[in-house]
Amino acid sequence: MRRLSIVLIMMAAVACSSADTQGLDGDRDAGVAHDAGTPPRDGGEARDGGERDAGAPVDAGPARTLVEFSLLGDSPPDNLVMNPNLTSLSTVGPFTQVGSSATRHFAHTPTRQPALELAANDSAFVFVQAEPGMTTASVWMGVRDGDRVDGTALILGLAQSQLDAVLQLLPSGETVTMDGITWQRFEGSTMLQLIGANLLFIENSTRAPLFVTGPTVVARQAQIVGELGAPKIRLGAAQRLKAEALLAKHREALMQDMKPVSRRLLPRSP
Amino acid sequence: MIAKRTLLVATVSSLTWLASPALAGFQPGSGRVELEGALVSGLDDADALDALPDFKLLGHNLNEAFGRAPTFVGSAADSIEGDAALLLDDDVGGIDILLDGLAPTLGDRRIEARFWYLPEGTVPVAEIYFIEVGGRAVLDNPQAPFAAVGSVRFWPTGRATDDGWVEMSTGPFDFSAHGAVRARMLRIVDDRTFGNAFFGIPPTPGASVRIDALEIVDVGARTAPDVACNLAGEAATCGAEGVCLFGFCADAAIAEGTLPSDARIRAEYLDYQVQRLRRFAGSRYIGAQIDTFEARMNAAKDRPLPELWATFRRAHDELADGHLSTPFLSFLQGLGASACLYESDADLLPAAPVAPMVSRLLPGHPVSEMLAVGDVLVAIDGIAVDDWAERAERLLRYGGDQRGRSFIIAPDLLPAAIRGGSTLTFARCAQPTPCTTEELQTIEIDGAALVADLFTGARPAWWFQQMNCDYRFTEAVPRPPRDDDFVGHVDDPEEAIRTIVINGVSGDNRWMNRVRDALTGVPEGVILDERFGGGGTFEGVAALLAPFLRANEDPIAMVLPRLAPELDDATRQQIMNCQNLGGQSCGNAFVLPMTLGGVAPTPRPEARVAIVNGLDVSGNDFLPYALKRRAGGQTRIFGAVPTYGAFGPLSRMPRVAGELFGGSFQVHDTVFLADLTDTSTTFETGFGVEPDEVVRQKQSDALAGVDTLLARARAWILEGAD
Repeated sequence: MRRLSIVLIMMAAVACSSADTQGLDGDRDAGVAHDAGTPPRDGGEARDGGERDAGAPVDAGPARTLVEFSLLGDSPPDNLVMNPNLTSLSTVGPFTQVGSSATRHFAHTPTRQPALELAANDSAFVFVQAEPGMTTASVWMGVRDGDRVDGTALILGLAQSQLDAVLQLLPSGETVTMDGITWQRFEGSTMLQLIGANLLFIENSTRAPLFVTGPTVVARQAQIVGELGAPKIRLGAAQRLKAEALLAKHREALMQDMKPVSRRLLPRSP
Repeated sequence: MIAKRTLLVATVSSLTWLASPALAGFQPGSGRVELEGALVSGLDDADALDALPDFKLLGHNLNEAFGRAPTFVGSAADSIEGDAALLLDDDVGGIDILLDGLAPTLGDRRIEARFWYLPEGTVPVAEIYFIEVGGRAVLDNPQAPFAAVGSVRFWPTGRATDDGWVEMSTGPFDFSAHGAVRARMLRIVDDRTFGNAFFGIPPTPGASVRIDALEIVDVGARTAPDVACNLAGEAATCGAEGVCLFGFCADAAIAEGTLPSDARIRAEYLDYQVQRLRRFAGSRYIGAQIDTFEARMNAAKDRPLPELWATFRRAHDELADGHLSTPFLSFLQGLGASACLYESDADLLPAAPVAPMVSRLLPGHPVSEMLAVGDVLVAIDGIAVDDWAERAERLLRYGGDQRGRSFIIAPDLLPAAIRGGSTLTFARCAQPTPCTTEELQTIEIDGAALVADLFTGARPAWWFQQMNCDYRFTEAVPRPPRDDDFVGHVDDPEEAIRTIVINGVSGDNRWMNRVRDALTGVPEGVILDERFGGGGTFEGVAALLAPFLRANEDPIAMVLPRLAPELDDATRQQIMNCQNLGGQSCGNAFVLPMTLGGVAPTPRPEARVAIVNGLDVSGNDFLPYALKRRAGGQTRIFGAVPTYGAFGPLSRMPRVAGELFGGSFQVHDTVFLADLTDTSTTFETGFGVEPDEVVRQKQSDALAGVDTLLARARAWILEGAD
């Protein structure tokens, strides 16, 4: 597959919040919302092939320092992923899965969000809302015990110019090991103007569990200076079958779900 | 290192440290937590648990006895307090801790509860329950938490440590409501246990979470005055942070629930509620309202809880998405209806007002002893019902087309008034002709007096009795109290009218079989009584629609997600092409023939169809919408208000921050097309199907046992009969 170089001038400001870290001893700037193209800043974690585990003992000083906790980790406020924490109890609508996959909460993940544990040969998708502009997507996938990350992350969707638009997310070269899981970041961008709600489709092609976290898709107004470099592929037959099976399940669920949560059994809600 | 300990501090003098609370909690110098509260527990070992007032370990099935011993893990180096931490794992699902012993010292205090957790695959969900009894009566009753009068949940404080510990807190709240109703039990459960209990999802093995550094601290005197009140006067009586709960002021945190006490986390949570609607809601009505909605939410963000909750709930309601439900933070069973009040034409009262009228009573309930069918609710707490309902907006929810609000919430007024300690005033005209003011009898129901025994620890036996209010005055066909799959029909052979009664468009096999029966041998006139139309499926809609359409007639529903840019001809064509080529996703858009291609075995396109509406939502929006526009026989809709206008499927939202349910809304909206040449771009959600004839139950008919709506529908059919 040919990957073309692109030079983009981002016209929109990267959304960020000025986190008030006063009183916190940690150097981790957790409050800053990272753009999809920006790796997380996780003080003390080894990156790019580093091997230091987050659980390693500290030589001196206090046993631990305070850092900020955020409900959505480093997910940017304008993340177009409908279920950025990959919560598995939401099984209809914005998230559909098969098999025995489950949401896992770890002390450390690259984006400080829960992870989806995708069982062997399972696949799952989350919906991604389309917005005008260049779509940039990223996700972290990880495996235990130094196994090779062998997952596939695709944006499947409908575009004005073609059916079943596909963007494959490719390794960015960033890796980090946390709590025994080696995480690898995948990313991709496209100028295809997607329509409606599309899919971030994740497939685990291995016999070992695959962990997925930090799905991020943002749309930015962009001026293309160079050549567009969207790594596009055609969906393979096996992948298509899996994706369609998931979609059929989702569609069937939607067709059965024209009934609001019962007024009469409402538990206390905000 | 802090020594392991579990202390129940029973003297007020021991709480003096609270003058300088910064001394306790996380210590930057050591990187550890120091405990010093009214109740502290390092949760280090079995001794630590045994020193608690009383506790019970839970399995992952909350309804089953659990006998395993607790597991403690870690060391002084890797626990955040003491020597170890309590482990919730694949076997131990949680722990219940009684708080009874704290009442002597904390009964009139404001407190805060905190703990830390370290996730190893899962996270905890925690709550404190306010119940009128304590001891083993609570600990041994699996249903006790769900029957609680109130609860306070734990939220993240926004503080964590670089090795993964996360702090949770309730924020400040009053220890007691009134009398015997006070904080009785603290529950910490594995998030997977919750999934198992409420969604039937078995816990996925291989995960655990460490719980450590539990403490309850005194943060001052209670804020809500312990005085009698009613809802209409609660703002003046109960203070900024209080509400009226069953006739006595209580901290709104107990009665209505808490939000994160940390300003940053609270803002993050509330902003997320807004932004997910801005980005993902399919309703174009929401799209048009979202800036106003966001401004309201922002203005309420830092207001006291009573005001914040009222604004939060009403602002969501006014987005008019009938599928929208705000996240569930607690599962508490509230009071149900003890009498069904429907907004009616009170034509026997002076000035014949439109007002809630008693249409049904629950036998054996004390309210039923006082009221009679035909009684009209004329005031609550001495003010007009509409004015009272505005003050009670935190208790009254209706998220459909807002033109129907007062009609739909009418059955909820009575339980809301009892909860608010309010007094309801009914007017009775016991004669078939209009009464003068002097001829009216007045009946007053004191909600606070009804439930007074609750505060002595003796909850009234009728508490959980409730009836199903289905907006029908009479039943054309006898049926179970509540059955969403119910389909019944009855014929009037002399007048060639069939009355079909449904409670929704379930579409499951049992429902479809009954519909098939109901649609066999249909006469010229049909009354479709869907006054309790709770929605269902597209298949259900198709089954009831298809027989009344002509052979070449098949309206189309374009069910579309949010589009940016908005729907235009090119996008419409793209979606159509995608679907025609067999695309499964097509941008999550669906173009559906409303018959779903089905053919009615016994078509009756020329039938005269009278639809009788009440509470109709979702599938029961689609059905009258399509029937009203059919090309064959006439259709006429009788009802008081428009349907909900929820034109689209429901999408459940993901959970964040340990919500028990993430809420729901539509990520779709619908454009109806007469056929494929139709280029309409009118999105329908938020705008219900209006009645052709506004009809409410008449008081005079009620006294005579006549169902006004069915009578009017029958008359219309007969008007058109040859």
